[in-house]
Amino acid sequence: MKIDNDKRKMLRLLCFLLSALLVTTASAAVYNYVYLQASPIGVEVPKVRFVSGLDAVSTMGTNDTYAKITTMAGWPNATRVYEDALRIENLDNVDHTCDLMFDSWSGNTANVTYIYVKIFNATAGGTQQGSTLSVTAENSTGPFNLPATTIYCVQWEIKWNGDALSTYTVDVALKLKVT
Amino acid sequence: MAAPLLPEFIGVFGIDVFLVLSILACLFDFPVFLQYVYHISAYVGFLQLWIGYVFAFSEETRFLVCLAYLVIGLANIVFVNGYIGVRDRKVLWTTSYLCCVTVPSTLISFSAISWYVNRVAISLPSLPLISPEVIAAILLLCGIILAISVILSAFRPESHSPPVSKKRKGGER
Repeated sequence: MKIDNDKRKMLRLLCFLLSALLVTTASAAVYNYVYLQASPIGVEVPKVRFVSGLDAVSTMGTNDTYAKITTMAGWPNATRVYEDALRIENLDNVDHTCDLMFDSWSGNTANVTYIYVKIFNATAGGTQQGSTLSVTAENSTGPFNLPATTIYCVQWEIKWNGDALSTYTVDVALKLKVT
Repeated sequence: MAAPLLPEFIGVFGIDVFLVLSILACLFDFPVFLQYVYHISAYVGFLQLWIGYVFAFSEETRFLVCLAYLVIGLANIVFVNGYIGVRDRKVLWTTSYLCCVTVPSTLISFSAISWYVNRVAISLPSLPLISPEVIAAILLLCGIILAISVILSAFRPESHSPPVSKKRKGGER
């Protein structure tokens, strides 16, 4: 078999390149395995928390990552607005994107005309952040930016049907997605 | 997501150093034996990574082994740089090698070691998971390629130059 020096060198180089490509892939895969093995799920301090507003009383959960507004009531055939029902505070030094989403609701839901939830950057004269969350439509505010160390207000607008009785109640659960 | 580096990062870099060395040794016409020594050293580096992963040695041990491996690789880079300078005596080649291989690899190595020691969080791209069976198959393929390469290198080239005829003293009359 006749193979001159240059051809042999080229073939050897080709083999080295192929082999190098494969070894690099395999070693990166091993690094990936070791990395996954060394990355358990840890605990971080919450970056965003709930704060009670001035217009309603709220019960806070541990680390203020849960809030239950207990004193809101609507009027039949009239809109009642709670401008400062609850507040959302970014404790972090960087901005976070938040999205307030409908989770579930129960009770006399058929007698509710609408419940709107809006996010504002100030209690009075503020600009609305994201779009309006409609509990009856079961949608979300969409993503909005919560700047570092900033507090936003959550406004509730409640309207019952005209035939709603004072014994009627609804429970609404919302969830806040923070990224 | 940014996370502190693992000692295996230094090992992976050491493997890359040896692979580059084998390719450069081939390009610069180093002895064939040396080219294979460098290439097999890269395999040895991979094996030590794999053994460290399977037997789950302590992080300190893995770091020391990977560090020693990388230091050997860097020492060889410096040696090759010197060898090119002494053997070929070409300033351009030596300087190019120094600027393109020796200095960058040394700088990156020291940076990687410093990042690891100081627990600096580095964001690495997320890689797809490859199953251990595929990794074993890749290594087998590497072995086959290397064997083909060795077989090809074993063939001696036939000389195409005509045989030298002895000149008669005094020349032809």
